[in-house]
Amino acid sequence: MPVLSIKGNKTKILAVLEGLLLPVIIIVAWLIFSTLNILPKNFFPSPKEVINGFYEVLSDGTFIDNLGISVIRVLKGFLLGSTTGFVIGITLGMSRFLEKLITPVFNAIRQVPLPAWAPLLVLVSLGEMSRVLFIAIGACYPVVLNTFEGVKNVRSDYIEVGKVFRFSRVQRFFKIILPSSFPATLTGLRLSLSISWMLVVAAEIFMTSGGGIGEMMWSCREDSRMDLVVVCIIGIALIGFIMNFIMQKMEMFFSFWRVTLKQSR
Amino acid sequence: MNNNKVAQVKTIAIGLIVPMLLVVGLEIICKLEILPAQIVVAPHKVLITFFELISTGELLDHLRISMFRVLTGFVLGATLGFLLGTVMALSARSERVIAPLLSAVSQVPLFGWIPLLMLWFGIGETFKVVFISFGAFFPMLINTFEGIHGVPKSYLEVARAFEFSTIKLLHKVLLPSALPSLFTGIKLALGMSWMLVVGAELIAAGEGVGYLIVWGRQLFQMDIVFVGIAVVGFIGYLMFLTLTSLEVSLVRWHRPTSKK
Amino acid sequence: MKNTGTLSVKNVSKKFCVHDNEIHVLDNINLAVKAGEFISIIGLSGCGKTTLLRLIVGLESDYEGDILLDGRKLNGPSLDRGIVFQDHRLFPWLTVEKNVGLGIVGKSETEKKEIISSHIELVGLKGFEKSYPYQLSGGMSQRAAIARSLVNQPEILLLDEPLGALDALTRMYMHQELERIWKKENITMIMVTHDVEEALYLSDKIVVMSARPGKLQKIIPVPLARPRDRASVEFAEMKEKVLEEFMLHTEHNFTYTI
Repeated sequence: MPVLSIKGNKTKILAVLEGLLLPVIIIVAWLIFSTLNILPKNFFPSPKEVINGFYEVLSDGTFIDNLGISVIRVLKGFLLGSTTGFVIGITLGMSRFLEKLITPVFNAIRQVPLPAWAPLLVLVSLGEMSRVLFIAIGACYPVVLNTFEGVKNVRSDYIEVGKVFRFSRVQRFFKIILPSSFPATLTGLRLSLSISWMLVVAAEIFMTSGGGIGEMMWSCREDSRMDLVVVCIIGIALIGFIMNFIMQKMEMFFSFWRVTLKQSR
Repeated sequence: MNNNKVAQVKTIAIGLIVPMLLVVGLEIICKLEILPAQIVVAPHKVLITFFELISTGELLDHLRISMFRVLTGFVLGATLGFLLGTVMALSARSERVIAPLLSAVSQVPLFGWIPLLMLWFGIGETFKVVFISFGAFFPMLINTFEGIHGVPKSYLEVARAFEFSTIKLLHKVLLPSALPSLFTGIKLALGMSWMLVVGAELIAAGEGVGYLIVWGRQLFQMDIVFVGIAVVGFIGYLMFLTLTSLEVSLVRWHRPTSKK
Repeated sequence: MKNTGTLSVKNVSKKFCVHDNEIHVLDNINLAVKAGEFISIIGLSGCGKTTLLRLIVGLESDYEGDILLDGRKLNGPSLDRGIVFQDHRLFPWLTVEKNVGLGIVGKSETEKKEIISSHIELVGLKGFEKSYPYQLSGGMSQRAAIARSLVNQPEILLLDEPLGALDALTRMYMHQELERIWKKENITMIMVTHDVEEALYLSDKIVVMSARPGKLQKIIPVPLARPRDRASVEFAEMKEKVLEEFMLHTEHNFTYTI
């Protein structure tokens, strides 16, 4: 085992180095080109400008403030959308009648590309609520779909065990259906959060005047502050990465029994 | 057989209950003016507007323009994604070199590229096509890679045992085995492109279905907004259906993936 | 011996409808099981033995005839009948002790704990209370499933090919364990199996079923003394007798010379 892991470490380090190759080349090329003034300044800001810009928005607080606004907004939309989605998914999964009643409408609504909801929500003019609702619509779908599948795919074998022990409907729900479908729901939640983060940027561009990192980017573009646009993009990507990372860890933590079940078979 | 048909009709009938209630409810609300006309619009008015927009040819013009943008962006992005995905799947080294950069780039939510792309390419067609191609690129790349990379080792061993040439290997093993995954990629890529074209047209366009929706909003005409939303949804669904039926006829041995 | 746990199956028939075709799964089954007996039902796959077991558990309804437990007619599943399925069906998201305690009703927390630990000990899983099913071997999973089915002290334990998925050596070991548990708990057990040796090692009576429609072909008492010796002549003779029912016994060729 130890011998293997040393060898593994070596190839791992090599892989990391190989992975760094392209980014390093790009950054070096960027440095060279910008110091030689080959690239037009307002299209490609130099690394120095980006770092200065970052320092500027960091010290006047606008960067953190706007990121904060976006994070709070995304959490609101995500919570609203995913809770609604969870309830819908469970309901549709548990009742054949409601499944037949609601699914066609749900599927029809789902065909609408998410950005198309923005003008409608602007017309309804609910202010901040419009932006939150916009995110919630996108956040809801993956949770509905995954929860529904999770409930539908609960093994009938397990339901039978519940019958043998004479479980009530409530017991069956809490002891079998909920734990058995939970990993699927978590997958839905992870997808949902990443869609929410994408939509918060869209919401802030389509429905301005509420602040947020998307709007900050938008006004930086209007001022042709390319350096700040780049700073914002990096910030957005970083927060998105962190959110996804947390959700992935959570998914693994709660569905350990499912993952290992697959491996052992 | 007969029983099945009765059950099917029943299912469809149940499915129609909610839409019908919605239509009737909206008509009543509008008739009695319970909510301001800015928020709700009677379904029959939406229908009238729809036919008006059709007869003047406006709607089709907008659709044609959006379709052209989507197809250009999709073809560009999906082709690049396919090529890069294939290269990464066939060469482990290229995967190690390219994958980290790509996964870093893919962390940026698609709409986050808009300001940057607008600064680079202006607000014209180039911006839209590049933006749309971003959306098509990643799903195609990931699914191509997984499709080719995921070809079962046992099949490759069969190919080795029969001493297949590279072309035969590609043609007889890799491509058919990866086809379902490729189709998943194409479907996701086209769906994403369609979403992005609407998004791009919302902020920077003078035509296209996305613009139609914005235009309706600016005129405070809810009926136009609804026509736009419905048409955009319907066309997206049609594209998905077309691809699925194509998949069914091409990949007979595999069940088509459902939309997610 | 207790006098609860007698089962009588009277004129039981069962049909399934598949695509408007009626399939006769069980045809006029009659069976009487005494309290504390170990009965095996053996037969080829498709003979309806599992269906019969599911009828007795109460997981299938819509049959003709009567099934009586201690003289009372059955009505759906009940805690007085436990079942062990072929695939252990432990809930993968629960630990062994949670799985075992799953069916306990109307007991205080301390009583519950006691019942769980005593049953885990009974099946020899002490030390694995906090393990998850994926951490157990096939035999251990089946032990946990047996413990789970015994916590409510059922009068009858039904076993549906409980050892079918285990390897041959583990299975032989589990035979001894099952016999020990059966003696200790002093309950009626009915086991479905397709392993003749398994049936011979464990049962007081072997019920042989024939297929399509599922009928009771023969009931063979096994009068061998326990613990049984698989290598003994008597055991081999009994085995021949059972195999004869399936036309699988060894033909002894006689040569006549004049």
